[in-house]
Amino acid sequence: MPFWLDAVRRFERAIGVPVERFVTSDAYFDLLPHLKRAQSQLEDAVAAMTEEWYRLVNLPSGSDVRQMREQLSRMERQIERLTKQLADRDATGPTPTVRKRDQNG
Amino acid sequence: MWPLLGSDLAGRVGRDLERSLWRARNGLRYVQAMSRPREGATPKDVVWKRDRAELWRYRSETPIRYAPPVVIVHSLVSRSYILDLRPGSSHVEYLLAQGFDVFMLDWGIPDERDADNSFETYVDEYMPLAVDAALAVSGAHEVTLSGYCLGGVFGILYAASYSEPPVRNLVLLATPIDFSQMGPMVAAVASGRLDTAELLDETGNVPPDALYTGFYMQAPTKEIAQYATLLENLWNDEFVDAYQAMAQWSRDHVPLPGAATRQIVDDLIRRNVLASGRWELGGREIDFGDVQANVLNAVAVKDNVVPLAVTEPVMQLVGEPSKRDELRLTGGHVTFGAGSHAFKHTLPALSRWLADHSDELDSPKER
Repeated sequence: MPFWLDAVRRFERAIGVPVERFVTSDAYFDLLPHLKRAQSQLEDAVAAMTEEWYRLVNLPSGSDVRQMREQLSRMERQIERLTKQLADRDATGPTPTVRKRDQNG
Repeated sequence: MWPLLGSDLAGRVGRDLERSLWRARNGLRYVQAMSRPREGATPKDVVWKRDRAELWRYRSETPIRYAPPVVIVHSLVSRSYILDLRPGSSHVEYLLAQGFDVFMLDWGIPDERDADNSFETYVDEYMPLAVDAALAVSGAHEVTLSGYCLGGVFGILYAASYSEPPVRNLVLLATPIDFSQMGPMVAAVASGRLDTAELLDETGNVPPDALYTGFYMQAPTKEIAQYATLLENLWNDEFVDAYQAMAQWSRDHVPLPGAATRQIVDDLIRRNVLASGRWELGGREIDFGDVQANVLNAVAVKDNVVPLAVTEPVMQLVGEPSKRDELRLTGGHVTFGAGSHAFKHTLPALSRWLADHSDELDSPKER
């Protein structure tokens, strides 16, 4: 192994061991939810600010797109469920041969 | 002596120069290929499809020597091409070369339409249809189910759910059972410090980035040494191909459906139900002891994703004691699909067990 590669590996372990100890510690997992919430709050604050500007020029904002996407998702799930129910009812191909275990086994 | 030293020096300079050129060429190839979507290496046909889930049957020139066919059930949180990474370095290709008929049940890339997918969706809806399709196209009347990681949990639930499941063998590769032993991140979820709702995005699923970050944060500085090793070996086409395939797979996660995530958090992690050997799912209680199949628990002793202690309870809980076998492998979580150890030890051992628990056909069958 060349000298430089050995040096990089030693360096990585020198910093990696304490970093790994921290990211598996209780302190890190106590901190993580707070960081995640702070990040969400920051994103919400930025979105709220930009939303006003988008609305002024009559453009959909990020939250409008998100809401529309959620609505579409719900609709697509519903359509897919109905499609499957119809397909299963009309199915002429192979059907499951296995039977669910009954109450008595 | 001097002329010899001179020619030796010239040879070394020439070699270093040549390697530098290969490094430059492979460096460009590496950067270009990282953004290219990767698929499995072995040719295959889609023989069944429902929503995003697909059942693939692999093609091979090698005739089929063994029955029943092997249906690999993949996990929900990673891409299935880890078991079919590259030609010459593929779990699937290895089994085909031994004469097995190999299928892969791949869950696809879930999107917002799959946010309501629960364990019931996979075990009660997809798996019976996929297994029936495998039986129909292979002409067999039973299968070997081989579940990788969470796919092993699906395999247990499916094989224990039905009174006469067409499963002769159940192979469990790094299958998590005791979630109390999973490590600090899962312990943080168990204690309520990480909330399920905060993990989901607007599609109702856990985004792949969140999963990648979770795995990445286990050893965040490891990439430094990995990149240095890559730089040193960048002249070597074989090394670069293998590194690239593995690096791409480790970043290539798929969204985890929201309903399944809630079950993982509430039932598997917080209540640790799998460790009890029973789970009430879809209105009935599933007892893992009801599995009738031969069971092979294949565990990797250096696995830091699903540590040994997490998989060990299989040997007390799943199937009949006389039909259980354990295979301890010295590799890590990906030893079932990648690395030299996989092809020297893991796959030969797995293949031997499969052959011992399968029927050798009187005359090999063309595919």
